[in-house]
Amino acid sequence: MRTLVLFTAISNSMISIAYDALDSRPTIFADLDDGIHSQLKSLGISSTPIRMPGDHSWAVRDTEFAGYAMPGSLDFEFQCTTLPAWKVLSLDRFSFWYRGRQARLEYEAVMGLNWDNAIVPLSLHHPLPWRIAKDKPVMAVQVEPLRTRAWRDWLSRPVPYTKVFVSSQRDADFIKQFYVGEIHLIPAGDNPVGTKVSADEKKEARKGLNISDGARVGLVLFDSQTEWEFRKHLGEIASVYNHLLIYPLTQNDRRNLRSIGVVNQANIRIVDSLAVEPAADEVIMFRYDDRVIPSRRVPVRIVDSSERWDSALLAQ
Amino acid sequence: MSKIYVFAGRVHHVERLSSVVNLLIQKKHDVHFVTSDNYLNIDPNTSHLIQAGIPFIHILDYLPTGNGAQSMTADALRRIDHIADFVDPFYLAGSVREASESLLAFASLLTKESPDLVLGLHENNFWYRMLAYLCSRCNIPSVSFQEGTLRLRDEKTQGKQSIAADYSTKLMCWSDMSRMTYINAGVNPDKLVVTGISHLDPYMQPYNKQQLVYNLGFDPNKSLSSFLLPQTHRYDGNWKSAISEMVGWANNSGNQLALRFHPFEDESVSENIRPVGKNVRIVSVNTLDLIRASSMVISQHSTVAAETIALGVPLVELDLDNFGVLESLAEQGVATLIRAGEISKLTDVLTGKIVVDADKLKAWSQNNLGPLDGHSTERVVEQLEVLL
Repeated sequence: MRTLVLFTAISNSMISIAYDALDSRPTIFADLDDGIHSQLKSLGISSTPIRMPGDHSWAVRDTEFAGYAMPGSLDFEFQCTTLPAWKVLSLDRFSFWYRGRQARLEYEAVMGLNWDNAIVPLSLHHPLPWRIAKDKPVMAVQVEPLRTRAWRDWLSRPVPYTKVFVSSQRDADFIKQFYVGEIHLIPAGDNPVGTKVSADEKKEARKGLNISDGARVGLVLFDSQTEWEFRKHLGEIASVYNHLLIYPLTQNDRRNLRSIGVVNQANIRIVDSLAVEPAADEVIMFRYDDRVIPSRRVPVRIVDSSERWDSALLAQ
Repeated sequence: MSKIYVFAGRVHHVERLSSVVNLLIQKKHDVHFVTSDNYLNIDPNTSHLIQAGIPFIHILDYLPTGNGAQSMTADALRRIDHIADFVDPFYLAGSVREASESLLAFASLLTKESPDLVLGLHENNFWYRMLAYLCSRCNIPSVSFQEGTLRLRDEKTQGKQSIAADYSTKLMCWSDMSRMTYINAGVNPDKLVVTGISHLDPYMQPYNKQQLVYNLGFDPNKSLSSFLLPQTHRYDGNWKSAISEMVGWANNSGNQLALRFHPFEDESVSENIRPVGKNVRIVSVNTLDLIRASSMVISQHSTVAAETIALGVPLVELDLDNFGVLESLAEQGVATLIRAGEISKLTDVLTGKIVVDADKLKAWSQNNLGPLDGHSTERVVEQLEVLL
């Protein structure tokens, strides 16, 4: 039995499984990306680079896309409506992200390799692992947070993998709600847990920010996807605290914060670093986010008032 | 006074509908812009409205609480089949959730606020298709506009024109020829009205070109050429080497050059381009302002090309990789084609040594752009008031 390890993404857990495979059975490695290829090389893993050209002709691409998605496999109506799904989703959404000829050639190249079963990343960021799992036995390894709204939605479809490997019991409990196959735990240690802030540390952090010890301080972590919730609740949240610190999670979030008109004012301060966290009594977010929340050092309040982000379910 | 909702997802929606909105407001109608979230929100739809100080209604304020969107999303995702082999699950799940939320929020908005009329830039837009559909269910008239130049290829490959007015009550067309194109694609002729290009009306007024050039930070005593790129992933050929050649031409000939990336272009693309030369700058102003300030426009983009001709500015179609330009305007005699090794022809176009045939240009303009008399907005509003 020969095993293919297909790297459409990379993580410590994926590497660990790859080494295990290498030790126990004939294994081949393949990747679709130069960055991943060089990372594998630096780890001593020789991987087959699969690089396929994209579409040369927009006319061919658009015609093929129309075959798949206009209406193609989108020939159904949105629930409780008579509105065909393809008329909304195809032209102004899926066609942007359609991988076309490249995806078809990658599939053919991977299926042309000599393998019996495969190990792939458990990821929403490439269609190929999901596609090959329809044809051959494939196991998937967690490489990204599973407790997200996108995963929850995607898991309403059948999961084609024979086995999944997840990084924690908590993630196993989550995926168990949607997946009937075998679930295995891998100790990946990818998710650091925040250590509690000491009284001295808090005092010191506040001194640096010129905030008094008795003041009530909130720290909002802003991500652009929750821009509507942020604008809706900012005034009400700011009224609860003597000082509200806002930390945009990325450079793009920082730019967006400025573009929606939030500037430093009376009790609101936009901060440059998460190092201010010890000064806060509470962190406020507008959705559950597994990339950020487990490593927080102060209590987190999630304000997902309209339940858009399924935070209650994801935080369990 | 009628309550009119105007959907404004992106900045160009506001730019292109503002002449109609302004006239409706002058006529004492109660006009509101409506906007929404977008799934990734890398660039929130609200940014441009907030920055311009334009009040808006946000559809998420109307989203019913509960699991309606989740259930609708799950149902749709379970049915999606082959396209899932070609699109990342993240985008499939996100787009379907975005559509589900929007459908529920738009429905709630229409039920609660009962507008008399709804406008949107075009029905092939993700959000406006849903809004027009829901309007048709609630017997609220909805009106959309022609989506740029109507390319034969888009109809042939994707039937884009045939679905341009499935739910809209009326579709405002640029010209008689555009109307015929829609009819030939199967659109009900009763829905189609020829009004001209209303968003160009403000640009048909007299203006001071030197002042516009100065406002852009260039020397007003010298002419300005502009290179308006399509989205770089849609550029036919190597867009980086095209920029490099254009910059080389400007530096060698002493001409001023403005580079403008497509409004939807990822900012990282323009941030990584550093044109060298005191006569060359990257600008991010309104496209029509830039065209009007220019003495020559270089592009591959069909809508920009049509707008350039409408504003009477000489147009160059760039094909430095000899890739072939889709439905070339140069082949129709209304633009100058510049291919590999011909970059010096830019100076000839700029100085008027190379000009297109005036009769051909006039005929093409009448057929494709319709009346350019500055009164299209009035014709649109007249049609809208019939529906109220």
